[in-house]
Parts: sequence; C-alpha cells; structure tokens
Amino acid sequence: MHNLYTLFQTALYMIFVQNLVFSGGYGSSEAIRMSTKPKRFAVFALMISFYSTVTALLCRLLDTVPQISALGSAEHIAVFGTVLLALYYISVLLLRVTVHPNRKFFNTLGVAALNTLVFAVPLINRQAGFTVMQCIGTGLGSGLSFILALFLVNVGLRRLENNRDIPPVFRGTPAMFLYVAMLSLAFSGLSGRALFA
Amino acid sequence: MPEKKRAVLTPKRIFTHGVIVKNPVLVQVIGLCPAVAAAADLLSAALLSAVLIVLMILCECTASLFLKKASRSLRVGIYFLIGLSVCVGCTYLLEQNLPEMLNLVGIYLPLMAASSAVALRSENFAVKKSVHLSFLDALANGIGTALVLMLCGAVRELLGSGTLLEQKVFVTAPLRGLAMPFGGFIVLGFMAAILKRFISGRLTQYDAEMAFGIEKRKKKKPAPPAVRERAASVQTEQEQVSPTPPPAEPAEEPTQESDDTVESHAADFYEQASEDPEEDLGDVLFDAADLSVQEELDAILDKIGSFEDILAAAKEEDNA
Repeated sequence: MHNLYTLFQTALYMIFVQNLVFSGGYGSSEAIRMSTKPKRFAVFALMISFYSTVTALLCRLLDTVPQISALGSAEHIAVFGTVLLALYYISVLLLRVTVHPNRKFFNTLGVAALNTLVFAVPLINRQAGFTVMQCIGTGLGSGLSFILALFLVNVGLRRLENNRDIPPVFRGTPAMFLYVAMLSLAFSGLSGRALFA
Repeated sequence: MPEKKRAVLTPKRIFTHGVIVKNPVLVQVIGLCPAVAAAADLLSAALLSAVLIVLMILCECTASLFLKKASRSLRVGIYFLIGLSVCVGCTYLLEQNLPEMLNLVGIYLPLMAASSAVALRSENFAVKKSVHLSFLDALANGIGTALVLMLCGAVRELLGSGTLLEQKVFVTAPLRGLAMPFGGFIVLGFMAAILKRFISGRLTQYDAEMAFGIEKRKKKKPAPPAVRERAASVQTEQEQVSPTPPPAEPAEEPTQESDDTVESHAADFYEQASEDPEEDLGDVLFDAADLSVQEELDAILDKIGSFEDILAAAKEEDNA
C-alpha cells in the first residue's frame, strides 16, 4: 500500500508540480506539434507513457547492479540511451511480427519513443536518487503530464487561431510561444519557486 | 495547365531557408528543449550549439550516404545512436576537463541525442538528397538553430542574471524570471515575431503568414481516378448546359505580382509541401488515423453531389 501511495504521489508531483513539458521544456516541440492534431492524442500519449515508464523502470533496475551504479555520468548516459534504443527496436520488432501495423504507425512510434522527454526521465531519476516505485511514478507522471500539456496547448491554439485581436506580427507561432510561456509560468508558480524575489 | 516549376536548391537558397525562412526553432518549432531550458546563458547556448551543429552534419551525411534504402524505423534509431555517441563523448570530455561546464548544461547535453531537429532534418531532407546538399542543409539548419540559441541565451543571461559571459553588466538582474523555461518561451515568442516581420518586410517572395501559421497547410491527396472521371464528366455537362462561365469570386486582396513572383511562389510552395516536416513527420505520419479512404471518397462524392445540384438548378433556370 505504501508503495502504491509513493507511486501515485510521485506521478502527481510530476504532472502538476514538476510538469516536465512546461517546467523543464522537455518534449515541448513534440507537445506543440502534436497539439494541432487532437485525433492522434490518445495513440501518441499512450506511446509516450509506455516508453517513459518502461525506460524509467528498466534503467532504475539496471542501476541496482553495483558495476553499473559505479559508472560515471558519461557511461550512465550511454547505458540509459542503449536501454531506450533497445526498447524501441524490440517494440518495433514485436509489433512487426505480431500486430503488423502500417508504416505510419511505426513512424509515430519513432517520434514517441526517441524524444527528449522520454530520455530525460531516467536521467532525472538518477539525479534525484529515486526508488524503483518513485521511478515508475515519474515515468507514468511524465507520460500523463505530456497528455495534460497536449490538451492545454490544443485549447489555447484553437482560441489563438480565431482571435483577430492579436497584432498581425504576433499571429501564429509567436503568439503560440507566448501562450506556452504563460502556461509554463503557471506551472512554475505551482513548483513554489521564487520568480521575482 | 502549366507544369509546376521545381525550385533549384542552390547553396544560397538552402542557407536562406535553414537560417531564416524555415528556421528550425522559430518557424518549424523543432528542437525547443535546449532553447527554452538550457540556453539560459550564452556559454551554455554556445556549447549546445556547437554540439548540435556537429550532430546535424554527422546525422544528415550518414543518412544521405548510407540510409536511403533503410526503413524509417531503423533510421530513426540510428540518428539517436549517432547522437548518443557524440553526446557521451562530449560529456566524457567535459567530465574529465571542464566539470563546471558540465554542471552548467546539466542533463541537456545528453538530451541533444534525442533532439527532434536532427531527426526531422535527416528524414525530410538528407534521405532524399545528395550528401553535398545534405551537408549544406545540416550546416544551414545548425547555424539557424545556433543563432537562435545564442541570441536567446544572451538575452536571458543579460536580463535574467544581469551578466553576459559571466561578466557583470547590471547591478541587479532586471527580469530574473527570464532565466527560467517560461522566459525562454517568451524570448522565443518575441524573436519569432521579429523574424516574421523581417520576412514579410524584406523577403517578400516568401509567405510569412503561411510559414508562421499554427496549422500548417495540408497536402491535398489526389482523388481516385474513378472520382476524377466522374467529376470531369459532370463539369463537361455543366459547361454544355451553361456555356457562359460562372462569375469568378472577387479576390480578397488585389495582388500586383509579376509572373516571376507567382512562379517563385508556386515553386516555393511545391518545395515546402515536399519538405515540410509538419507534413512528413506530422501529417504524413498520422493522416491515416484522421481520415480513412472511404471517408475521403465520401467527402469528394458529397462535393460532386452538390455540384450536380448546381447543374440541376441551372437546367431549371434554362427551362424557365
């Protein structure tokens, strides 16, 4: 029960307090680009959640091996990167053999698996010294935080698109950047940092 | 119907596109992570920019030389592997020689391995073009990204910390929040607006509104042959019934473009449609989920149905 509590607590922390997309900028390009395609949210978000959770768990388990935990930063990055890459190729192989999805599905899989958000999770876990349950929580939380980011950006973009009060020079991408900045500012406020002290 | 003119990719054109017109960060909205989070000071931005340029050149040249026949799933992994090798090497060198620099960039240096800018440019350009053009494209896009990163880093360091290259400029930092990720987004927003103004003012042959649009244009899929034939026959019938052409809709804004400019627009649009990453790794990746072929066919048939209504109305008018 305590483990489950820790898992959900960490997941909630990653979604609302330390939202990786807004508070850290991880995977922000993917979030912005995907937010214009609401019909693909579910598939993409599911893939991101899967890869971030499984990579976080595998990397944490590998880090329990004394030889690996004794490695330096560069070696750890190599190990974590190799885990992510192996997971990606294994999943591609399994899907090819079993489900036979179309080529476009695999392209989506590539974008969802190999991005800064998914790769950042095990590195953050190692820096923070999280336990196995906390690592699963961060993986799950970052996937969910990505979904939240997609929804928030999508809602804003739809309003920005129809807003004729925006000065012409700011219409489009500039306004979108400023909107995401406001969201990021809101999440920074939740993290309790002193911004203007 | 005049044939579409394909734009010739000259080094000048590649550089104009990579650095200004299709700037990876400000226009294509890719590779944002280092810009908004890591480039909080000029030194970090310069380091990340150097790594990114090397990474882009390596990935694009590899893609152009060896990966043209590989499947996309395989290629994407190889870009990551190349990135990982470069980033691990850089991290190791910094760890051994300049640990304070490594602390400055933190985990953002290894994250460059998964940068979307590298993978997208390699997929959208390098695998389709020669190694010479791919090298130029990598250099142009790398420089374009580096300029944004360094300018963003300089502004954020100056206003967020009151220093520039760790030298004190202001006694107190005017806007401390700029050093945080939201500050990065704000700076990028203003930089994008300035770039948009520059393109619409100086580079009038490019459509700034289209380039900076949130929803990029979508490639129109050609209708199936049977539908095209039916549409053509309905069109012919309509022309036979009412030989006078319907009045053309008035143009929203009168344009005074020369034929050359129109050709240039057409060529540019054609090139953008084939290169736009939004198309390739955005739309093309996921369009199948959006609209099935049957739905698309129905949509086209619906259109033709309404066309037939117009035809019937025209016949009634004639009879009357």
